[in-house]
Amino acid sequence: MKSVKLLYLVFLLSVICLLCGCWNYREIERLAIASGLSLDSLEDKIVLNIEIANPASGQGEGTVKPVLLKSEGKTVFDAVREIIAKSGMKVYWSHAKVLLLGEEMFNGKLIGALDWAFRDAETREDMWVLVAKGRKASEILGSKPELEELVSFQLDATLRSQRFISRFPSVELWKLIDDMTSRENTAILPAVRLIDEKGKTVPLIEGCAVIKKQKLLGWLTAEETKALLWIRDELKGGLTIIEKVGSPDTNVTLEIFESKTTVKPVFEEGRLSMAVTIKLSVEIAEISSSMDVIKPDGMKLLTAEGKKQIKRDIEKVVKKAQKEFKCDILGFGSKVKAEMPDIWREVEPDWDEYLQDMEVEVSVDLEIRGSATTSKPIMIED
Amino acid sequence: MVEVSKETINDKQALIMVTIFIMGSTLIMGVGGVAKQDMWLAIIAAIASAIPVVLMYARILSTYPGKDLYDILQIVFGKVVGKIVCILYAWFAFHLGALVLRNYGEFIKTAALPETPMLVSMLFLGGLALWAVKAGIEVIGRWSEFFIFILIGFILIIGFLSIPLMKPQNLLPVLYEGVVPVLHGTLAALSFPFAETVVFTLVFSSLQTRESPNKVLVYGILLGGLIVVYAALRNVMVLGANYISMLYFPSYHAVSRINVGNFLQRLEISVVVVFTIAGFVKISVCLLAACTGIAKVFSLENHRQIATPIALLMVTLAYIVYKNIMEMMEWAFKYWSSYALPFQVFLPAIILLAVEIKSRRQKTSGKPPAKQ
Amino acid sequence: MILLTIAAFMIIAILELVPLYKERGKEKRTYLVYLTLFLFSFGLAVLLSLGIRIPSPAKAIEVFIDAIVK
Repeated sequence: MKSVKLLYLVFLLSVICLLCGCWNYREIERLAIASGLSLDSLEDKIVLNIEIANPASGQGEGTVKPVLLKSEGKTVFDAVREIIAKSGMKVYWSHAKVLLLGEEMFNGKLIGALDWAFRDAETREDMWVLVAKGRKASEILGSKPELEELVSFQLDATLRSQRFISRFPSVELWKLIDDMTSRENTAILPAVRLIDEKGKTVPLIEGCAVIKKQKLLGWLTAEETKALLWIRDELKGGLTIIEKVGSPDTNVTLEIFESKTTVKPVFEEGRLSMAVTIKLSVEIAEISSSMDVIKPDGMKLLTAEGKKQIKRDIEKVVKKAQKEFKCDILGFGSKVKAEMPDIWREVEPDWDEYLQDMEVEVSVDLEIRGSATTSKPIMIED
Repeated sequence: MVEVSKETINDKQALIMVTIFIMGSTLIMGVGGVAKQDMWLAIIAAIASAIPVVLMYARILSTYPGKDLYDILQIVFGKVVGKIVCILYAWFAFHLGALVLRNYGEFIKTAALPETPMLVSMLFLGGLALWAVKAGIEVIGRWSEFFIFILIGFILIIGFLSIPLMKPQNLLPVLYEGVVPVLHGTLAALSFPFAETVVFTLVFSSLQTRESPNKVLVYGILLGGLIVVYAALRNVMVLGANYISMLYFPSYHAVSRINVGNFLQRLEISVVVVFTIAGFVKISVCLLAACTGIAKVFSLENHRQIATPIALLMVTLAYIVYKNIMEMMEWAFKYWSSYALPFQVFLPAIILLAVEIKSRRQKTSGKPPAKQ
Repeated sequence: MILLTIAAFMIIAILELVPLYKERGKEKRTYLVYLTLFLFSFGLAVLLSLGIRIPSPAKAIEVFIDAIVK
């Protein structure tokens, strides 16, 4: 019995030796925590820039300073490992928030750019993806934002507040891959560019890029993006300005509280058309003149004008998708597939052409449910 | 030496064991993937077709109360043939346990500890299963009874939190590619996990009453099936069928999408917890079945004494059975059905036939009938 | 690695095999079955720790199924 006890002791001691800490432990000081990365294409190489959140110690309050690491490689992962050779640090990816893509990445390198981020176990698939417009992605990652220390944090905060402005889409990595694989290979991505402000260059997210099969087809402005989000039923809030209600100087700003879009495919006499219905619930947020649009007949005028203008905006972007981009960023294909699978089987092979001359019927249902805290415009007699 | 006393588990514990067994690796691997967005239909069809199958198992068991399938085989087919079939079943349980262990190892390696050798996680879970087998089926039953609350708790919480992420449109169109993929999915889901409950016929010799096997297996299948259907519906609605087809472990990704106010997020560890608990029960039951089988074949009194080398062999088999995760997935979806269905459906059908003939003959020859 | 394997198996042998050996008069069969299984798994473990690739039984089953199904 004694020998058995001794054996247990030996066994336990050997377990202690084996289990003293994980063997692939990483000390926090040796860890470079990535907050974002950018990918550019240079000839046949990929240029990777990583923004590292570097906790600056001392001086009372702890601040985080950005450090940019740059490397090149044949593939993304090659470039990622190149960082170790250069800095001796192994980058930790679980907190990376943004993935910035340069425009040149859309020359057939998009899958290569996304695959590693999607496949690797350490990166998270809810990383935001953005396209750098007009500049290299690395330049945007190297710019100096106004309030935050790190560009990635600034972009992350902006994209998270998307529902208050709706001037750009917010696209996570999984959403991009989901769209590209299921939504007729099209996707939209927010566009970020640099603007000069008080002598500083700061990043600004505005509008979106239209992508089809690894190719960047073009850009949409902020207004067009909002209309597109409306059709895709991805608009959750934001503003819409109704211009020239009754008199040329009356612009009414409405804040959107609820927006629900239903897209219904209609098949009549051998032709497929789409019925888009948008139900909106808004509040009057601002009136730019003394015109009283809150009293019943003013309200009627505002509602009519609002419906007309929203409908016009939406039809404009539908036309643009049909004629200029010639692809299904509107998401009509998946609606047809879901609701009319038999018809979808027929039209699927040349859907993009079919889409070009499809009739789209837009109707807007606008409900003004209040006027914030004041019941009258500011009255100034002429 | 320890005297082997007759162990009994009550119906509730047995039912919970069946439920957890079905959840086992299914919640992680996903089933019926060939049916794409109709996988929930395939799973429901599989549950429906699994019920007659388990009724068959139950009938075999209740004809000879107090005996497990190994004993029954030897009674019905005689010593020699009976023992050969016993060895086949012991191998099946042993192999199934090794596969679940491998799934666990691959999952931990892919999702949580990419640099830790897979053997380490498998050794630990295998060691726990060995401990459970040495402690006996009573302990596994009581353990399951306790841990089901943790499992259900996690599943309910995750379920509520993923409701905002669900897009019912992902379920449409129903039957877009016809019935054939759904039938393929049904077959796949029948052989993994529902008819895998055949392993329970190898260990349930100690249920309370004659009707117990019926009740336990049918309700266990229904309850476990409900959870599997829920998981499939959630995964399709959250991820979409297309996206699921790109993933090894869909549930892990579906849960990782949960983000409540930027505060409650990165909950995917709960999936690891659920899999560890459920996988542990499944591996323990398989190991117990394999040990009992070997003991019965060699007419040993105590199956616990030989549990250690069998557990070691199980871990070894799990380690060498596939070269990589790609091979594991291919095997699970291509070969498993044709390999497992003979054990799950055809052999039990033959056994049931033999059992019926034997008991009829006993009745006519005036001996006391073995069943009512 | 190989030393670790041998050490682990030795511990198991002392804990389980030795008591069985002492009782082998009463339960000879249990002892023999245990010994066979134990030596088999020990052999496999040693081969594995030496880095020798052991063919998987899955391959044999694959061939078998393909032969039957086709």
